[in-house]
Amino acid sequence: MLFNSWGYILFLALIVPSIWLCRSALQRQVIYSVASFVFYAMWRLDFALLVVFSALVDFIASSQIAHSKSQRHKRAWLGLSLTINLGLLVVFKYSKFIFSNLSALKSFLGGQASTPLWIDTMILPLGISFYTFQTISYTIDVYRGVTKPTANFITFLAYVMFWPQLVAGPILRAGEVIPALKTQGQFDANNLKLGLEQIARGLFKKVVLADSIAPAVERIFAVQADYLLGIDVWAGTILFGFQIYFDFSAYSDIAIGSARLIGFEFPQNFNWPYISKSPREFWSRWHISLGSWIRDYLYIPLTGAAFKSSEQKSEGGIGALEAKDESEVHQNRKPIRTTRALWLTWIIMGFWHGAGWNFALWGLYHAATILLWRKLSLLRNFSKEWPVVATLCMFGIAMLGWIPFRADSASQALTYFGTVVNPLRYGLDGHKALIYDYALGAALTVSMFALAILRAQVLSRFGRLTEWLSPVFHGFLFAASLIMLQQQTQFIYFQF
Amino acid sequence: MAGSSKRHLHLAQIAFFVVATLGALIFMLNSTKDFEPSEFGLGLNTSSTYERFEDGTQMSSIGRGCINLRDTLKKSTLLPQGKRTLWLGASQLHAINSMVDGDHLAVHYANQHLPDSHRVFQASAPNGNFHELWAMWQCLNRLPPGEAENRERKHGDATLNFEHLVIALTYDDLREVGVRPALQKHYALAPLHQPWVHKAKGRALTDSLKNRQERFEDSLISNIERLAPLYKKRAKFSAFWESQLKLWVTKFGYALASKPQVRVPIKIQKINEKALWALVDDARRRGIHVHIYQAPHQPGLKPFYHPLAEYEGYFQALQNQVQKHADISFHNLKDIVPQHLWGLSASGQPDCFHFKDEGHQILGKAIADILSNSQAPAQAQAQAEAIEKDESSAL
Repeated sequence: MLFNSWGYILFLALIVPSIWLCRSALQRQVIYSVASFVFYAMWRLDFALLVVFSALVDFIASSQIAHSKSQRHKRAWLGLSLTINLGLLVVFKYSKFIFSNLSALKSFLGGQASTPLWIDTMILPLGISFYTFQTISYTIDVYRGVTKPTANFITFLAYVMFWPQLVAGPILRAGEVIPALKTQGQFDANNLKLGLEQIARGLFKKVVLADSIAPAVERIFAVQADYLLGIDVWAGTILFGFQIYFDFSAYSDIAIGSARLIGFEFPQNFNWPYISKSPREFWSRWHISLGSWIRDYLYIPLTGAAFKSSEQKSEGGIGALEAKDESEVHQNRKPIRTTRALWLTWIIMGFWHGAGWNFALWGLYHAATILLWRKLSLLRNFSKEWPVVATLCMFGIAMLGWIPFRADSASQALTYFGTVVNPLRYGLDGHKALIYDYALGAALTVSMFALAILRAQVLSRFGRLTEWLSPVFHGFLFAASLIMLQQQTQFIYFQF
Repeated sequence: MAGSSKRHLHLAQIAFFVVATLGALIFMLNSTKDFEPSEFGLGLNTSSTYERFEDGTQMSSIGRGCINLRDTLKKSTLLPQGKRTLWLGASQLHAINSMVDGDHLAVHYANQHLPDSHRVFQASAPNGNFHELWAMWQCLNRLPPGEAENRERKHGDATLNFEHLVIALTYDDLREVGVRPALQKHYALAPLHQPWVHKAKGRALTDSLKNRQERFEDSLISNIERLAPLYKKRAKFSAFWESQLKLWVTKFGYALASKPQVRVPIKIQKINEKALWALVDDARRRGIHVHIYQAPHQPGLKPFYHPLAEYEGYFQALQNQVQKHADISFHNLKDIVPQHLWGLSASGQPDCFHFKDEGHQILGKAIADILSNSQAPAQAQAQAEAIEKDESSAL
C-alpha cells in the first residue's frame, strides 16, 4: 500500500484506534502483524508470504543460535540465515544484472550472448533490500550476543513486518523496536499530534514537492546525453537531488509519523543533508539508518576493528563513524586496510541501491570524496574557517553525486560528468526551452538555504507561538496534499 | 494536574490541526473552482471564443469541439451549390487579446469578406502541432465506420466536401509532436492506428491493468467525490498552482536570462513535417486546394522569439517545396499584424502569437483575399501542366 493514498489514510484511521483499544501487548502484536500483512499484500500476496518466510527463517536461526552451546553450530545457523536472506536478495535483485554481464562477457569472448527468458519477467519484491538488512542484523546481533532472541514468533513477525518501516525503512535494530512492541501502543495526545504533523509534512514533501519536480527532471534527462549542455546537467542533477530528497525523506517522515501515532519514537532518517559542510557531515544527515547499518555490520568488520555492543543503534549514520576515524576505529589498523574497507563498503552501498554499474560508480564517487576529506587536512580546515563557502561546495559535490544515480548506465553517467567538467559545454544559447527547469533548480536551492537560515535564526525565538501555529501550518500542508493526491506515484526508494 | 493540562493542550492542538485541514481544504477548493487552465495558457488578458453564422450554424471549434463541428457539417444541407473552406490552426485562430463585446475571430471577418455562397469553417487546437491538425482533419473527413457507409449510401461520398483547405503554420508549435490524450479519444485517428474502442470497453481494459490498491483507491476517491462534490474540483487547484509556479519560476528565469530564444528541435520538426505532408497530400487527393500560410508573429521583437535564421530557413525551405505543386499555395503573413495589436504572455513577456480584434480583422481579410484570388484546383492543375509543357517545348 502506498503512503500517498486515501487507502493509507483509511488504513490508519481503522488500525490506529484498534491498537489503542487493545488490552494486551500480544493483542497489539497480532494487529501489527495482520495489518502489516494486509498493508503489503495490497500490492502482492505472494511477496507478502515471502516476507513471512524470511522472518520465519531468521526466527528459527536466531533461536538455534541462542540455544546452542557450540560455536560451530552457531556459525552454521548464522551461515544458513545469511545464505537464505542474501540468496533471495541476489535472485530477485541481482540475477538480471549477473546474467546480462555474463552474457556480455560471453559475447566478448566470441560466444553467443543469451539470457534466460524468466529474467525479464522477474519482479523485484518491494522493500526486499530493507527487510533483508533488518532480519540479517537481528540474527547477527543474536550471534554477537547483543540481542536476546524473542521467544514469540508473533512479536518477531510484528518487528519484521511492522508496516511503517517495511517497504523503505528506516532500517531499525531489533533492540530499538521489539521492546517498544511490548510496551507501546496506548493513546497519547502528544504522540498523536506529533505523528499527524510529521505525516502531513511527509505527504506534502512527496505529493506537492517531489511529484512537482519530477516532470522537470524527466524533461531534462529525456534529452540524449551528449546533447545536454553543462548547465542542463547541473539543472537536471540539482532538480533530481531535490526530488529524491523530498521523495525519500517524505517516506521516512510518514513512516516515523505513523509509528509515532501509536507511541513508537523512531530516530530521524534525514536531517537537512544539503546544508552539510563536509562529506562526513552529509553522511551523518542522509539516510541515517542505512549509514548506521552499513557502519556497524559492514565497514567496522571490514576494518578489523573490535565490535562494540554499545554502538548498535541506527543513529549517527555512516558519518558518525567518520568522526571517529582518526581515533577509535583506526587505532592500530593499517591505513591500507581502512582505505580498502572504505572502497569496498561504498561499492556494496552502491550495489545495494541498484543492480547496475552506475550505482557502483555512485559508490566510488562518494568513497573518493570521503577519502579526499580524510587525507587532506586542508579540506577539513577549510570547512572550519569558511563554513558558508564549504556548505556551498558540499552542496555542489552532493548534487553532482546524483548523476550516476539518475543515469541509465555508467557510460551515460560518464558522459554527463564529461559535460560538467568541459568548459566548452557551457554555452547559454542552447537549450533555452529548459529555462523553467533552470529557474526551478535555482529557486529550490535559494529557498532551501533561506529556509535553513529562517529555521535556525528566527523560528526558535517564537517558541510559544509556534506551538499554536504549528498545527495550523501542518493542517494547511495536509489539506494541500489531499488536494494534490490525484494519481498514485511510487516512491523512488521502492526500487531499492 | 500538570499532566492533565498538557493532555488538554495537545488535544486542543489536534483540534486546531483538524479544523485547519478542513478549513484549508474548503478554502483552497473554492478559491480555484472557476480557474480555467486553457485561458491561463493563452496569456494575460487573452480569451478564447467561438464563432457562429447568423443562422446559428457553428463556424469554429476548439480542440475536441471539432467533433461538434463535424456533426454540424455532416447534417448541414446548406450551400448545396456553394463552396466550403476548412481553416486549421493553433490558438491564434481562437484567441483574442483584450477582448470586448463585438470583437470577432479572423474566421468571422473572412466570412464577411466572402460571398454568402462561400463559407469558411475553422478548427483549431491550443498549441496545435501538425499531428493534432492531422487528427482534426481526420475527424472532419473520415467519418466513423457505419456513419461513413451511411453517408456514402445517401450522398455518394463519405467526406464533407471542402473545396479549400487553409493551414496556419505556427513555427513554435513544431516543438511538440503527437496528439494529446484529451483529443485522441475524440478524434477518429486512422493514421495513428487507434482502434475504435467503445468507451466502456476501453475503461474495462484500463481497469484490468490496475492492481488491487489502484482499484481500491479509485473506488475510495469516487465515494469521496460523491460525498463531497467540491473535491471533484481539486484538479483545478493543482492546475492553478502549477501554472502559478510555472509563471513565477519562468519570470525568475527570464530575469536571469532576459533574452531567451526558443529553438525547435530539428528531429521533432521533421516528424511534424511528415504529418503536414500527409495532411496536404490527403487533401490534394480529394481535389482540395491547399493554402499554407506563415502565421502572423509579433513584429519588431529583439531578439526574435526564435533563432531568426532557423525560423526564416524553415519557411524558405517550405516555400520552395510548395512551389513544386500547382494546387498548393504558400503565403507569408508573418508581418501583417502591427506590433501595437499584440498582448503579453502569462509570464509577462511579449505574446508572439495572440493579437487584438483589429489583428483578426486584418488576418480575416488576408485569408478572404487568398481564397477569392485562388483558382479551382482543376484549373490550377491545367495551368501548371501548360507551363510544364511550354518549358519542355522551349528546351
